Amino acid sequence: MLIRTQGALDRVSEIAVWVAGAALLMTAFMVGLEVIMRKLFNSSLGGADEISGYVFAAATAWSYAAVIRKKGNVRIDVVYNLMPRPVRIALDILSFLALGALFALIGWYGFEMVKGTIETGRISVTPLRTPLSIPQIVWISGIGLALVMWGLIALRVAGNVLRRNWDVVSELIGSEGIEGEINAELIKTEGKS
Amino acid sequence: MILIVTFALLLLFIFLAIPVAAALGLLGVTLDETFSIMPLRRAIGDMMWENSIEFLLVAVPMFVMLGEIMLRTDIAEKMYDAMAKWLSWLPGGLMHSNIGSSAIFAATSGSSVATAATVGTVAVPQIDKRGYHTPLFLGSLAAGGTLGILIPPSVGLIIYGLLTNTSVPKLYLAGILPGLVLAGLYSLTIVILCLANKGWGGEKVQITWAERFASLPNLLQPLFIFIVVIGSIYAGWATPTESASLGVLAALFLSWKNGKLTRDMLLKSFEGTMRTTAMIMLIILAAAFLNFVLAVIGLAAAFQSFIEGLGLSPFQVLLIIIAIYLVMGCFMESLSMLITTTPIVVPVIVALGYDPIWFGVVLMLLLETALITPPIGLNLYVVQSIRPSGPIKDVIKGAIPFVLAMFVMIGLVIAFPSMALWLPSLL
Repeated sequence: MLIRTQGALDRVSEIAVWVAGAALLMTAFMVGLEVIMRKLFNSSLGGADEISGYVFAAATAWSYAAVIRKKGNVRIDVVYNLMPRPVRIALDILSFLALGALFALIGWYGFEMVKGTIETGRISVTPLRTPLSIPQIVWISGIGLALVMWGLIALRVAGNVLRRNWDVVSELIGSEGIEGEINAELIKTEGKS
Repeated sequence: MILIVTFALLLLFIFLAIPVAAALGLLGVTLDETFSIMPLRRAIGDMMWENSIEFLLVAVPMFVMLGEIMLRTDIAEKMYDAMAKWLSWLPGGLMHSNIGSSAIFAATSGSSVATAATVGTVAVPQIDKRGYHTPLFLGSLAAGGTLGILIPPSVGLIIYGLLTNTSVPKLYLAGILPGLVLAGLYSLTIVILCLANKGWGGEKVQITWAERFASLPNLLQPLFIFIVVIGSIYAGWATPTESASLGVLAALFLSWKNGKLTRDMLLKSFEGTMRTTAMIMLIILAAAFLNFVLAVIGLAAAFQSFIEGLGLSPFQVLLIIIAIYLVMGCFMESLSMLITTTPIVVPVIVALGYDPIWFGVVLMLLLETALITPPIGLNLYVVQSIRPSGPIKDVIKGAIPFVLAMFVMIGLVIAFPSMALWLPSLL
């Protein structure tokens, strides 16, 4: 059940990452057009910088779930690597809880802010006069997805701790450390040829 | 008191291997709870939002995407081949091509790890083919890669510019000359070592001038990206973020021209881009909150008065700060180090009378050193993982001479600040 939910959630976060990347590429086109119009025709689309800021915020927020899942957060594992396995697993759980606390914090106060924006109907102090609730709702939903991803992994970790399946726990939240980062770089260079 | 608690907690969190972003965020909350009169964390929402939409930071995903597309565009092989034809007559042969290719790739890419990975993949197969001294060859790749964050464009300089409110175009200009001199010092290191040790330099290859000139078109593509990204800034066409976006479009154009633009390639690039961007942004957001708390509870001021209380000359303080960075660089990943330390250290440096643009260059050099000093030197591991086999000791040993070259470079920039400051002064 949990594993099937995980599969579905992985798919959602993967698609979210693709859409986020594509949206940023679109932003590059928009900014490029803005530069060319400004230089050659001395006119401006107006607000390209503001819109790319919103796209950037949303794209990043919707990618956090994938980073949590792929254990993409930087951990300094000099001491960690010297520890025996039980200590490492304890540290993994501690780290995972800390990460959850960070997202909970961002999610909670972010939600408060968005609620305030909606209630007061805040608009941006720019020529575009964007109703801020629109980009902020997209942004906070991305943080929401990250929290759901965290919650699901937390449930799986808890279940596997109870069953003493330490290998699965390590696989879910263990430190990839340097190895992980290198592998990511190598996958890139392989993908090239 | 605040000073000791802060540093103790930060060290504790980091050595417990808590993710850097979470460590910074939680440290912020703890300090807020303990030392602040009113709860600052209520401001988290607004602060996260304001930083998330910051236009200057949009340059980060753009540079990452530019690199991701370039990696999959076949540019590196051709560039390496051209550099080999022009530089391999020097004692040390292809090792100079490693440095040269790294310097050129650095001029199109904002990241050191990407530079080492790209050039390394092309170069490593040459070690056995031409009988090079393995450690030195590997060291030249790890060290050459570090040029990525010094020679513009540079993600490191953009983040530094944002954190210290200094002009990114000026920082870029400041990085050029030291970057080229450092590449020269690397080559000099190779020449000296190969003259002193017969047999380290591999077998010689004869190349005609006709071949050399025939290889020049291979350098046109990287040159094109460089002109688009850097030229557009200084022609007054674009801001750093806009120029990064133009760079993405230029890379996309090249990949289409080289027949590499496919749906699969784009999706892989998007994945790599968002993974790196999200990781960096989470650290930046957490650091922004921590810095806000630190400012309110007066840590930066406490640190400053602590330094002043030591009664040292500005130069002595500078040396101590550099020494701390060198030690820290052995254990910390360089980007996390940049984001955590800049807001605390730079105000002190400026108060001592040093130029923040100049210190940006010194800091980049220190971060570069951190990339190739064991046990945590990301570039060492990148190069190691490209090899088919052999111990990591080879790479570490081979990188040592280049660490010394970096020390010389740091010394030069301190002795002659105009190396960094001359070009920006023309702006």
